[in-house]
Amino acid sequence: MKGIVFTELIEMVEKDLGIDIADRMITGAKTSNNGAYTSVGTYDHGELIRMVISLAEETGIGVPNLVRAFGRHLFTRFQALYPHFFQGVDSATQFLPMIETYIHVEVRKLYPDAELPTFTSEFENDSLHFTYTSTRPFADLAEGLVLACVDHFGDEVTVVRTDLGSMNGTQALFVLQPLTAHAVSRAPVQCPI
Amino acid sequence: MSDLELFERRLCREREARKAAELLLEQKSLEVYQANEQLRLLAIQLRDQGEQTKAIVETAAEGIITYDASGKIALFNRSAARLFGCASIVDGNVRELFEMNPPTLANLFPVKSTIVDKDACECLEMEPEVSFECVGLRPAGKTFIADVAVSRTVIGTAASYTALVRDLSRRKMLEARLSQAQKMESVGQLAAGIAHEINTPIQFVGDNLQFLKGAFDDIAQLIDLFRGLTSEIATSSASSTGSTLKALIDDIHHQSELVDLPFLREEFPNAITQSLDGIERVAKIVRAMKEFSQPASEALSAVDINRTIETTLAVMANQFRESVTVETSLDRELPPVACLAGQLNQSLLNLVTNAVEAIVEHGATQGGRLWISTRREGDSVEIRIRDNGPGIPPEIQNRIFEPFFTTKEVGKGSGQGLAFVYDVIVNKHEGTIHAFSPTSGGTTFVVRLPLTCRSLSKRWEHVDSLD
Repeated sequence: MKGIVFTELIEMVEKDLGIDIADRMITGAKTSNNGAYTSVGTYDHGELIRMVISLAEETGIGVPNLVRAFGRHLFTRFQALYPHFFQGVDSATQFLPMIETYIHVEVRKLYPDAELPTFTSEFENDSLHFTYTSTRPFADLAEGLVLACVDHFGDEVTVVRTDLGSMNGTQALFVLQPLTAHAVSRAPVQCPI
Repeated sequence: MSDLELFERRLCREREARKAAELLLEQKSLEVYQANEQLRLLAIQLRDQGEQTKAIVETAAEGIITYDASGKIALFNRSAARLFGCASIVDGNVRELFEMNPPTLANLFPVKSTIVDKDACECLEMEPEVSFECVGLRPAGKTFIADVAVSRTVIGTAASYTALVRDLSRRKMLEARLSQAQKMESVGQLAAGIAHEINTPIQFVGDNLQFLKGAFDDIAQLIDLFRGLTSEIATSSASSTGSTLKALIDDIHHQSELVDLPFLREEFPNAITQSLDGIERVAKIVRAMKEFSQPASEALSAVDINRTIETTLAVMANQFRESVTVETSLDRELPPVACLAGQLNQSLLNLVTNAVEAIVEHGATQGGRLWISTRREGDSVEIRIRDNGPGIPPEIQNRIFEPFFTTKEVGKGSGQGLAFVYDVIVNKHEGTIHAFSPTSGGTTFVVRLPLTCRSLSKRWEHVDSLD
């Protein structure tokens, strides 16, 4: 997994929960490099999981909520770091399909060996069926990214997640349905930290 | 843990991260350098290859022209400039180089099923080459016959065409000379036979006339005696004596015996009939020759295939009379076939000559047989020419229609006979020709001619439309 995910997690925790919680999270996770990650490096994703579990133990917040919150944070960071990916895009339903067809293509140019998750997009009527598939169990992270994306563009849609496959977070379907078609609104998930 | 300790730990992590990043940077720099080196070498290689390709293209004996779907020329090599007698016309249009008509236009921009060569390049689509003949244009209204082979490549979505152009003028001239030489060879072979064919009846017509002349001299004397007798009777008077008349009658009897009137009475009609037959035979041969040797033209005419076969056999009769028995089974209901009569005559002559020569040259001086049959098959006419010669060896069966291929000894046979037949039947009449030769011997040539030749008809429709 790319180091930017690790460095962003540590920065988020330092910023939102304090330097001591971040330190305990790293210490508790017993990572191979004591948390000395660089954003351009590549590391074992298991260390990220251990850090999140360690953080959950420190804060008492559930792992899924923490990972979703981290997903939201990551989205805002991506937006700040890579603004050109967002230029000329007006909605989440427009942006999300571009992750596979454009953003991942660009990522692979820089990191040919990157093991990226797969996102497939299908439009059914007015709804976007956005499917996350990965060898790693980060469907919660994907959900946080999707929700942050919807909030960013202000799409008036409901987001319904359905876990797929082994139901272990490696595959999930996100259906983005316009509110006009369905009156049921979905309150945005607030960041728990 | 105090804030100071926390910051120190954080600093330690940052320092370690920085070192890791620097190490990574160093590795990446090395990788970039190595990639750069590879690229540099590749660029040199590509440049060398490019120069080599350019040299090959520029020095190629064939004119090479590349152009896009609009006809805009991107490459025009030296040979192309030489062929078309102009300087490089890059950015010009390929349509300006050839006499344009719908077939040429279609051939210059072929659209065929695509073959994707995945090995060459994923985005490169190549298509089979299209080869055709057309008229190339040179300055000052000059033209030349060009053999053009066009291939189409699709890179991405843009189609690109490459035309290889050759000047066929010299080849056409040589072909024409060769064809003429081959025709003269046939004419030469036929001339001796025809001379003999005409000589025999002429000889007995002459003998008969000689006989009639001699007989007439004798009869003339008899006529004079009869005239004297009638005159004597007419002028007979009392003074006339019976002895004068008796003497005349005796002379007539004597002369009649000398002349042998009963013999003449019997032989005269025979001699006249025989002479008329002989003259008819000569006339028939002359008519056949006239039909056979009609000037080769591109004129399409309705040809009676049976008559053509009979004419061919008539002019060749002397060549095979002694050694080959010909049997014909001709379908009398056969409709006429629209074709080039002169060329078809020559083709049938070549096939029959081949069969006869095969029989004669392999020692079958007796018992040689040739079967010729015709029949209608749907929209085609089938001609079968079968001989009981030695047959064609299997190892050369697939080469017999090749130009210049001959099994005859040096100095005999130009190797053009069957190549000419193939060209006439297949290329010019859209027909088919196949040779069957079992290992047991004998050869059968099966020729199928469409009743109406589409390409020839089209050509004439086109001519009509110009009027």
